Amino acid sequence: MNHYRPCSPRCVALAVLALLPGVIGEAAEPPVSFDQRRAELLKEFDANHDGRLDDGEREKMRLTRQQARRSRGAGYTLPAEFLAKYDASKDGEMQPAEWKVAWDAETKILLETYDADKDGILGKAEKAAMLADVGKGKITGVPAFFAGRMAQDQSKSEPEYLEASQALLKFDADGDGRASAEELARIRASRAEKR
Amino acid sequence: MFRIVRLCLLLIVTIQSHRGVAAETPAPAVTAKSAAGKSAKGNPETPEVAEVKFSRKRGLFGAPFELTLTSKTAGATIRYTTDGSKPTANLGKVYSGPIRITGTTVLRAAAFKDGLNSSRIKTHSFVFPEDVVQQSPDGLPPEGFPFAWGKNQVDYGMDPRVVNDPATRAELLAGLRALPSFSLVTDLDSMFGAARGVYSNPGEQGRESEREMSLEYLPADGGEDFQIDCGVRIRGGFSRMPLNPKHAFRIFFRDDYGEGKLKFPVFGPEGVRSFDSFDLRTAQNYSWSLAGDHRGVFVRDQFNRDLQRAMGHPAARGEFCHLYLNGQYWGLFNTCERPEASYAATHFGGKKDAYDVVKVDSGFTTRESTYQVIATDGDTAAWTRLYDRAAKGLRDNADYFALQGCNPDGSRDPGREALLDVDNLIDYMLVIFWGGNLDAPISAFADNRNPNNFHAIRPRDGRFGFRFFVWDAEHTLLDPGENRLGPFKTGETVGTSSPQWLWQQCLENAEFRLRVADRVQRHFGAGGVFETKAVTDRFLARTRQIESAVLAESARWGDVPHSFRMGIPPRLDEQGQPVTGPLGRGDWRREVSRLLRDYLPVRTDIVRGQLFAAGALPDLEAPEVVREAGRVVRLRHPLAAAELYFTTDGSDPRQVGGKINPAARKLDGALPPDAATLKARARLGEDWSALVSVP
Repeated sequence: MNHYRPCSPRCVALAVLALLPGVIGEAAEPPVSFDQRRAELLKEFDANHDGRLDDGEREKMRLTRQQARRSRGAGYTLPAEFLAKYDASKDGEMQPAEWKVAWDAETKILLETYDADKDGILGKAEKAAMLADVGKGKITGVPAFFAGRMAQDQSKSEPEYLEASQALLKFDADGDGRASAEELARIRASRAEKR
Repeated sequence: MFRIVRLCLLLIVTIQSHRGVAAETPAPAVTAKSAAGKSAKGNPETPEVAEVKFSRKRGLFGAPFELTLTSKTAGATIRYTTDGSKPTANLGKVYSGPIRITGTTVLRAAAFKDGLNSSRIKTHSFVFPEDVVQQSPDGLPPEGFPFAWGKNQVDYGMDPRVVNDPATRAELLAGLRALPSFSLVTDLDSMFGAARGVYSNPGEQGRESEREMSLEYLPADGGEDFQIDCGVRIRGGFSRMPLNPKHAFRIFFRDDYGEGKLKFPVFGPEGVRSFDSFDLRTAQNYSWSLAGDHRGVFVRDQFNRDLQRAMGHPAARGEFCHLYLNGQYWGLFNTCERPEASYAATHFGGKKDAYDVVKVDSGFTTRESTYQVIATDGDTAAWTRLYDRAAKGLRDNADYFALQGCNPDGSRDPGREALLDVDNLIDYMLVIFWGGNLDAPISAFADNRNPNNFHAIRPRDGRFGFRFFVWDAEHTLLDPGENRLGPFKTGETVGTSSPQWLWQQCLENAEFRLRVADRVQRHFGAGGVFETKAVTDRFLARTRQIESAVLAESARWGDVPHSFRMGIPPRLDEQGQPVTGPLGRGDWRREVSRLLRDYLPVRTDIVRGQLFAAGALPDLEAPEVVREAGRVVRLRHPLAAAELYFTTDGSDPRQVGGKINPAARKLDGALPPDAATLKARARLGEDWSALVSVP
């Protein structure tokens, strides 16, 4: 049986990057109509000024724009400090293996620093302490980048969303894990009392 | 000993949890052996007890009724359960007379008699919408349901803030009847048990993760229903995360469970009627349940697949529906065909093993690979041959046409295998570009380098090349300016290749570029799938299907406490004021309105401009076909210098390479009377326009 891997470190990093405006993906283009776009391209590529782009002019346009877009690489930029530290191939981009090295190294240090109860994961309070240090400027640069990613990574944290169901299990008098009429009545009574 | 005590306790709960059933007949004592839930089939030579007949059909009900169960076998004992578990010779209530059904009930019954094999278990779901909207209003588990779903986030109940809104209550009830419903019924341990529940272990994959359940179809219009025993797994990638309280399902039909195939027109009268499997999908990205995202319109994925099908290509069909799990309302879902070998055999003919099917393993669900093309059926040998040839470059026509199993002049060579269906590739990519798809067939969330979310099918005999299927098109219809044409640094290896990479390789070829223009002319022009009115009408048709049903989705999932809330823009009303409360129909209508206002009216023109800028379209308009009283009377062109060529024999007026087809005629005055079928292009110097075709 295959097993679920919630998200690879690289996926987490990229997913988070993807959601930061202007960091990943194609730079947003304004919604340009066909006529507007053609008019702009005519200015640049209509070499014989006959008001249209013939096959030759369009081929030049295609190759020029193709080169320009390809040179934009993956579409995001990372700080020079980041690349200097982890771009082992020196190609100006982070390859999958390089992401893994970076993730493993940086999160190991953060875990050692903030995992107060030494349970191998960062709990809610531990994450909060880490992010507080980012806020205070105690963590900066590449470690701050990964602190943010680590805080978002739910694959290695205690699931806060289980708190509610775990709390209800305290009312599971018969220990069968299922809600009986009596158990539900006690929960409702408890809730009413707290209100 | 502890197990026996637990089983006794379980039985007590089972007896107490028969909701909606007024009759009470104590069940006999149960042993650990019988509680295993296995229906003893015994010796295959031994006759079976006649199956249990229900006096009422499954479906949706508005008033209580008496249910009678009968078996034609004299002296047989009928046992039934209402908690989803299988009745056995020792488990379940003994039927002793009509059962009054007063509320939503899932009833499973079988007949038993000493010396005979037990009958097949029959399962009937009786859903009462008035009762459904009152389910767990305080969010606590329904009686008999588990407190926890393993490590998965738990969310029960219908939100009374939505249900009791007097402005929409009647429509919400109508919405539950507006779509067909599916009902999954099983012992709760198979669904929610910590160790073996599919819902409690959403990351588990493969056959071992599959659990036997009953699936019923409850039609919205009182039409034909069905029940079938099946295998159920969780489906999806990213959405498998345990944080997500609303998972999607994959349903399998196997001999192991009863019927080896589902034979029912799940996708309407024109769809196929026989299935090995299908998906019950639900919105995940841009959803209320997983993402807490007010941009949820629930039609993005389905609509994109509709577009591909409307272009004349095979596509994964789907229809919207409601789902119930053991009688509990589970929200808005949609059926979806899976483009795998069984799909290919059904739609293209032949046997399943005659096809290669490739898709992308995103790495969310396995440890072994990340965004790699894999074969789900057959192997990747043909895909690798396609990759190797395309990687060498396709500028020359000999190379380009060879991929299609053709001679350098474009004619089919029966001795060559076809590796790529070019028209299918182009049309598939037009859907991708038009939708601004960020996650297929390469992912913006993976550098725009790695492939994701596509299926491709090819017969192993090479009679046609790989055809592509729109899949997981949720990251679409967002920014009207989105440009997904690339080129991107992708396809560096066969494992990371994709239709996007093939598009980029093919774009080096002039014949391909003109073919793109032909397809754009066909699909973006008047009468085309992406013509603004047509695409808007198609979108509206899907949204109207679920306009009332989203009220029920809002009641069920509009208030999930913990969502994957990342990158979501502020939730604002029409006046720009923050909106609070459960996500609901107001949010849905705002997003639908945004798409109708900002996306649909402009998107086709924008993408045409993007394709032009990519060099894929000529700067010479196609001839305009002028009709009078429905008859083609002439061709015209805005440039007086343009020459118009046409044929009436179905051939292209232009030959591969750019020469004029000897069969083509140059338009000189009126069209001949045989122009009822016509193909035409404009020509100016050496440039050719896109092709127009009549009809």
